[in-house]
Amino acid sequence: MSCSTRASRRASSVALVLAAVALTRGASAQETDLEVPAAPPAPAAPAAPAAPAAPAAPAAPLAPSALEDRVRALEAAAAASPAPAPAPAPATEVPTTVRVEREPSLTGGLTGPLGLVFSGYVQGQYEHNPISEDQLQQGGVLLNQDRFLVRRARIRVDRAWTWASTAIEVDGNTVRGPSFGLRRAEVSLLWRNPNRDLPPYLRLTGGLSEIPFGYEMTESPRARFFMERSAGSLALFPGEPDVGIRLSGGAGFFRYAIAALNGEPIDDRPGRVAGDPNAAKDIVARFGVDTKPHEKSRVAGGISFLTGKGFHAGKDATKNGVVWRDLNENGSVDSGEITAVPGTAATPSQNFSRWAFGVDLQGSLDTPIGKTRLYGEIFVAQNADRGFLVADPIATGSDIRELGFYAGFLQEIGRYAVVGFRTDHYDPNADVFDKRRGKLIPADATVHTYSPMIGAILPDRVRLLLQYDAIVDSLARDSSGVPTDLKNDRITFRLQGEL
Amino acid sequence: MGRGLAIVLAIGALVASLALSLFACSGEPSETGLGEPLRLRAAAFKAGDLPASAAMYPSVTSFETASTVVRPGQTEKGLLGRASPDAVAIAIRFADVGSGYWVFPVDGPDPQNNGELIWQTVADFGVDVAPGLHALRVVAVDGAGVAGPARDLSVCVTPPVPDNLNACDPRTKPPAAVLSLSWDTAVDLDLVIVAPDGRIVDAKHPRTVAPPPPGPSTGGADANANANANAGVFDRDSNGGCVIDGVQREDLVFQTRPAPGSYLVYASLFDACGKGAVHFRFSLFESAAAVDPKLQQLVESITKQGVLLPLEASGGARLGTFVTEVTF
Repeated sequence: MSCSTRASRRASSVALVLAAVALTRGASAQETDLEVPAAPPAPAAPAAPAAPAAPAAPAAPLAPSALEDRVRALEAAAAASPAPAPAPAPATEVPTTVRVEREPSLTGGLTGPLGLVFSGYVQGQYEHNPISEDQLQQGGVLLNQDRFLVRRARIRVDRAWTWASTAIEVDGNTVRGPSFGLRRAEVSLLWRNPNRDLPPYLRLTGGLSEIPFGYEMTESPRARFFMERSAGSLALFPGEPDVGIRLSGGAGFFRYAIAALNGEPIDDRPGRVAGDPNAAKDIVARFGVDTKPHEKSRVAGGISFLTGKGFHAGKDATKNGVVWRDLNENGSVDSGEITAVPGTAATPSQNFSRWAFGVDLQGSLDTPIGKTRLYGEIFVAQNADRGFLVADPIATGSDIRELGFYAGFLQEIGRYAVVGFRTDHYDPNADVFDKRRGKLIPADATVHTYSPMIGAILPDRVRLLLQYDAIVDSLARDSSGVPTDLKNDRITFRLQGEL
Repeated sequence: MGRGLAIVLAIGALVASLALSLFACSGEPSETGLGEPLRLRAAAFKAGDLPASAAMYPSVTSFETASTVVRPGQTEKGLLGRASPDAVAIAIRFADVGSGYWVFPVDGPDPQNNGELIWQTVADFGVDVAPGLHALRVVAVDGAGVAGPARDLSVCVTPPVPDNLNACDPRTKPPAAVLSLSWDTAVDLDLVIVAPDGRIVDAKHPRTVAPPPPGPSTGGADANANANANAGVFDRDSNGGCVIDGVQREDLVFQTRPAPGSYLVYASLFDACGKGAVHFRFSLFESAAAVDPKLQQLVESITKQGVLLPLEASGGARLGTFVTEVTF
């Protein structure tokens, strides 16, 4: 055997092994949230031989001579095989499973049997809030907020085919005691864009999935550097997912998503009761653009709206009863202190209209020190607060108008650090009043939050983040009884690790 | 990587110091005040003494309540009054106990009182307020935070054991004896006493002496009066039927010296109410001479403690756990 032949064979052997490793890594790069890029059957076909070659992956550390021996053995086995014909058959099946795009800053996950992609992450954190007290509120709610907790521990399984994809994700946390819940359970039919960098032309998704309103709602908490969404976003949508059906996709720079949802965003923190069990479904949509005017910059934005029906729960009928009112406060039942309380009939539940309209804009630029991101969002809404000061116009007798906006700035410093600042403002009721000397005067219920953030990063592995939330509101009263800022600034240390 | 980390640490320190210096001291603390002897609903708690000044206004012109007697743990006691028209808020606290005061805004003018501003609030009281006389002190506060003169209202906080208000007025004679059982868990625990005549007395059978039969008196009015006067009477069935009242104390009160003999004391766990072990304490209080020999006061003379487990709940089928024997 000539030296050149041997070299050629060695090269081909190494190439074969590298191809197998590359295929394995490529498969492991399948990621979660994401679009399944079009993997045309034709290019995928060569992957077929890789399936039997997969066991060769452990051979990578072997010496070249050992590799050659192994390749020779494989070649001999292939030559001695009496039935080479069946080989093309599996070649036509493999391309049905396709790769999924990576989510920013995430690991590729782990590819398991049947093309399943397993991924996950853990967010452990320590919070400090000066409003904490070692007391229980009436009803047993713990007032201490200085604590360690697991904010999110999520495991996700994905599988994608040429025309479909399925994802299941579960979440565990200790925010209000240990709990586990379903975070995502969706199945999609897709018409893929041949360009892997673009979303599918059409994607029909059913199940528990994201709510397509604005930017923050669809930004993964895994990728987000700030600890939580802005106050306004948390008020309108206490949780990111909701159950329903969604049509989404894009063509060129255009992006769209339209969803019909139950209207009960599922909060990953337990204890919150869903309040919208009516038959009317919320319609939520976002139309936007996503462009790269320059190879180092990206601009995206969109408009969103939500329209739907909220639910005001009626009350059960009550029976006749008696009430003792200790009018003279002597602790004994005296004449005239027993009062009859006649029963009342049940009151019917009622629906009410709610809507929200928002505009979002994001821009990013690759600078010499790292990527710079600037983004923001503004919305107006009516009766749409479901998390902060829950809107119920049936109970209050008037519609409740909300306004919120935020702006965020993020600067990556090399590969290992990031700094950021976000300011968000949320007014849960533009028509709130305060009482002074018996007169109602207009008041401001806006909550302003200023959040500097800094983080150290081991790319695709670990993040250590520190965020300070300076919250300016009107939830306390000063020595004159006038609403003033409550001392409730919050500081959070978070360590996030990828699976 | 080392340089990147150095930059991160430097910027982190800068951001953290800026943030802390700018915001760490911002805002008004707002404690719940759950540990205070006086707690107001819909009011803000402030640590420290009441704001004070030598100014004559704003002033509290009226301070009223339905009763000046306060039970430890009492809830929803109404406090109301009026203030001069320049007031915007009322601040209130116990003059001698507690670590802070409460602030709440005044209401509208009262046309029947020259436009003085009405104020009213609802107060709860802690279970551990020291018995005796205390002053509730209020001041009115104007828009600039300036307080006017203080106004006091004396209230009598009763002890946990019935004493006929002797703690507030020593001239009032206390009961001759009180057998008291208290416990620490929200269970239905009963004090059971076996009287010298064998009569079993508990919250369901609350008298040591049978009430006189209805109809014409056979022994005369004096005999009935004596029987009632010598009778020991239960004050309550605490947590009866697991309807939790938060008192967790039952007392057998003798206004006069009990009939002589041995009284057997039992603690009967009627229902554990889904709770765990309960620690109980039995006490005998007897009337004794105070510092001034002409006056009397209740003195704790016997105490016994114990623990009951949920499996000892009997639904009243047994007398319960024997605690002690009291002899008069």
